[in-house]
Amino acid sequence: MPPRVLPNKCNGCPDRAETRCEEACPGDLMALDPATGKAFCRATRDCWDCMSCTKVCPCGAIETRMPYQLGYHKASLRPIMAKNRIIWKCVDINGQETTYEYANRLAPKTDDLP
Amino acid sequence: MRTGVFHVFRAKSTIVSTGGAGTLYKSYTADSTDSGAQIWMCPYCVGSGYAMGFRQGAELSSLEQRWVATRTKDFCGPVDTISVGYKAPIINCKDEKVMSRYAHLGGDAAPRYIRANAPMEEWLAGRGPCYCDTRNMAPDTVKAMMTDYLNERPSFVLFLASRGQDVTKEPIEIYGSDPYIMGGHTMGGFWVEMDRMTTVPGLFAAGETAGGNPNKFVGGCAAEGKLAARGAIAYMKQAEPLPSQDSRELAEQIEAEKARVFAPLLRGADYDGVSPREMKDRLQRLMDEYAGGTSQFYRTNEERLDYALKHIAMLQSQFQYLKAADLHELMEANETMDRVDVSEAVVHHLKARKETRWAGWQTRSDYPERDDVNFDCFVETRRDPETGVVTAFTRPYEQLVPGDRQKA
Repeated sequence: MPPRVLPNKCNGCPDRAETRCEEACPGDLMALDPATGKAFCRATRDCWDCMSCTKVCPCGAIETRMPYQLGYHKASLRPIMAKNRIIWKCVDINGQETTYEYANRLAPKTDDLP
Repeated sequence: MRTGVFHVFRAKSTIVSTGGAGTLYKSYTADSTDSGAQIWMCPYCVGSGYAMGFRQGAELSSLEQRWVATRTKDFCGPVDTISVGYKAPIINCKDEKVMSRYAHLGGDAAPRYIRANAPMEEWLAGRGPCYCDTRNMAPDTVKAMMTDYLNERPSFVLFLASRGQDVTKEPIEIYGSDPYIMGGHTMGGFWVEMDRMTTVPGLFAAGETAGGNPNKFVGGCAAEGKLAARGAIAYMKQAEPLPSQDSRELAEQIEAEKARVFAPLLRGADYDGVSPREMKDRLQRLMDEYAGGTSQFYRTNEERLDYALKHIAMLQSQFQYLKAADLHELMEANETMDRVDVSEAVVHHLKARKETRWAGWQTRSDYPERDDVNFDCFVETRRDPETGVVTAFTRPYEQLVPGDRQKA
């Protein structure tokens, strides 16, 4: 579960008072390191791997990893946020890739509008 | 949390709906690595709502009916998606259908604590591991199930990928979760009347925080929120005016609470004390071993519960040594104190119910049978706000919905 912030992709959300991952994390675990200007996870042990940070990052700079206590090295699950959909790309420890997709928002029905 | 500003809310009625309490017990994957929060329930619900009211004398109900669920092993993720949604039966290591052992109690439709506990009883009897048998699922059904998981709990898909697990070849292993205190599945929470008012006038509760009415789930909790809102408004309309802002007594109360909340941060950077994490970890192992956690297959007895109470009292006497380096750690310190206070109530509840009514949720090794003569009732606790002493008592069961109690 420790989210890894990729320093070459993270821009520290300069346009906001809080970084998006800081705002999204339900455990208040993400913060901005003023020394590096990048986000980091202050307590990887307390992460629930809900992946809110991973999904909300506009730069794709966060990777969720399974701790070794639970999962072997190394698989990846990457969300690509699209309009009303999420595309998930999963690569397992044997290199096998699978892509999933689902609608996470119902597209608004125009006849429901007032 | 960002600025350290202490906000004071003045209200004639308050609804507390802060969720239930996970993380009182040690989860079996919590060790020195990065899996300290691998539980089914949200680990950031630590029972603060219960603690807030309990410390002011609000009565708690049924905390001994702890929610223990069958979950995926190690990851502790949802299982109903597979077992109910995709009809993958529960099997043991011998490929036997586990629930048929409980046919006399309804088999797959047996009471929930039976279904929650069944895999653990199999494990204890030497017939583990247990699984949800996904081996007969067609590939597109598997994909649909994974997609459902990506919606509900996405990192479970990463977990399976980290094991290189093909569920059509290797079924999904299941095991019991750590115990949770909550009012949404089981009925642990504040005692509330029909308007959702607790025993503290003007304090209402809804959702996990409100006890006495189990199997609410999301829909029930939302409905309860509406009931509590109506109750809170009705109370407000007839309530006494609030004390004046200049009230000396009010100012003293605020200063006392500020001092209590901020103390760990104000002890200084060089203070030689106890970190919130150390106290949390100590509490979790204490509850696991002595108050019926997963490592004990949920079993406890009077002497272990007394040991737990003794050490909970020692932890409470050590709150004065908690230290925090920043606002996040200050939150952790307050959460840890809340956990300890709620755990004290849980142990009193487990002590008071001297029978085994819901095996797995509430198992007394020293009272293994159900005792309807003495315990067909609610077990309650109250903490004296002046002395901090917790007492346990009972409230009678009153049938509200007509019909046969034993039939759903």
